[in-house]
Amino acid sequence: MKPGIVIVAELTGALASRIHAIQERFDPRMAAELPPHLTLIGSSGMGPISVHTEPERLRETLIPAVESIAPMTLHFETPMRFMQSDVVVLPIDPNGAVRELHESMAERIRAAKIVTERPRFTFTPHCTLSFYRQLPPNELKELLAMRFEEPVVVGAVQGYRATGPRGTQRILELKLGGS
Amino acid sequence: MRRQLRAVLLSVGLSVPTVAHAQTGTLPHVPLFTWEDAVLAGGFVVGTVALRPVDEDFATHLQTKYAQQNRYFQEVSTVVRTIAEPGAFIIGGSLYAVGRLSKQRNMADLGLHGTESVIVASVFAGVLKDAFGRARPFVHPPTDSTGYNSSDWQFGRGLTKGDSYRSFPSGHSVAAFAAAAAVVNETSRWWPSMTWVIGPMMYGGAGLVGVSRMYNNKHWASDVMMGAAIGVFAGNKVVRYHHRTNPGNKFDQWLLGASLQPAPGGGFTHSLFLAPAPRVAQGRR
Repeated sequence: MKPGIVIVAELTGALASRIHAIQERFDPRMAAELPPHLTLIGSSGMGPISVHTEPERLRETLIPAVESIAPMTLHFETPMRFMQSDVVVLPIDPNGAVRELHESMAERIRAAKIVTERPRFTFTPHCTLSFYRQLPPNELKELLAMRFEEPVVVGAVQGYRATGPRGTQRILELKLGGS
Repeated sequence: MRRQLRAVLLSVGLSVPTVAHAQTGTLPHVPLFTWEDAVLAGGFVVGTVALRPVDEDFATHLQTKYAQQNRYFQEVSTVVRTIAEPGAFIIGGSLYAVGRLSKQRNMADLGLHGTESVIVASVFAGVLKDAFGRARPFVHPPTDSTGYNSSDWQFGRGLTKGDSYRSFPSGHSVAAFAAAAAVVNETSRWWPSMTWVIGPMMYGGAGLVGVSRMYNNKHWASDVMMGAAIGVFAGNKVVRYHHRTNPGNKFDQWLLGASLQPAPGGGFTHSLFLAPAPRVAQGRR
């Protein structure tokens, strides 16, 4: 993973286990980096946070944003190739509560003058199924045909620091809506 | 009325004229506001009201998966948005600094008045954003039980509930159109024959900024229209104020009449000429 700090919402329960098994099969390198998750800060909408940011400062910055948003239940749409690339993702509707959570955190981060990279794309939340591999056509077809009907419950966000190509370290966890 | 206007201008960073008439030469005095401004303002208000019923249609068309998963659209929208903000401040500040250092009065003038236009317009728009408290399009997605809701306004909510409720007007559109109007007005004084090229280019670019904000689901179409109105007004008024209503005002004397030059031992020397700066040839505006 590229050095930087990302804020994610880890998936939980049976859905997380199922997605993790799929990631291990189709992209073991990605599966080893982070548990299945939705990236809220650090990819689209707002780039990765500087790796030098103090976790405590980041926590204090994010608390008001996270506490203002209630836990939410989301639904995955059908798998797709992200921006016509070889990356296969499970998208969710980028609007509504999840976008409010993203914008609220991004606003606080900007106000706190915490350094972030510029994003290339507008906020497009998703769970990545395959990132590093260029899948052969039959595998790609199989992945794109999968369906995920289970609801995605987001009740907390986690911060991960990536310091090198392989290592990631969880540096914070905050519950939504102060729950 | 004139006193009140001066007070308003002072409050947003402009200065009261002192030696204006000494420098106007043969140019007649032009009031800051004319009946044409009322017509223009009325046009923009009508445009904003007319767009309200189709705000949700625009949002629906721009938020299709096909449009949102287009890498080209995504990257162009990021670029034009960045050029508007913070680009307008960086470009304006750089033009001013380079113009002062290289003693190119027109360039410094363009940078200064362009930046001033963006600041004046942004301050005004910021107050409106807080006051109107309109929910951004992403707050009520089509998948909600209500679907899109472009009628979610609440007085003062922009202050209390944060940026998700500061949709009206579009701040990026304000900055882009203010810069465009200032550039078109300034350059039409030096290159009147090129206005037909510069005008469409600048306003077209500003329009792209507005579309990019709708594409990112941050603004409704009517937010962009009102942002354009405020920006165009600010750009026109700032340039008119400095070149026709009160040329040679203290603000320009201080920031365009002083000299900043590289010092022999490194750094810069700053000298302020108390005499009014020489005027460049002035056109209609």
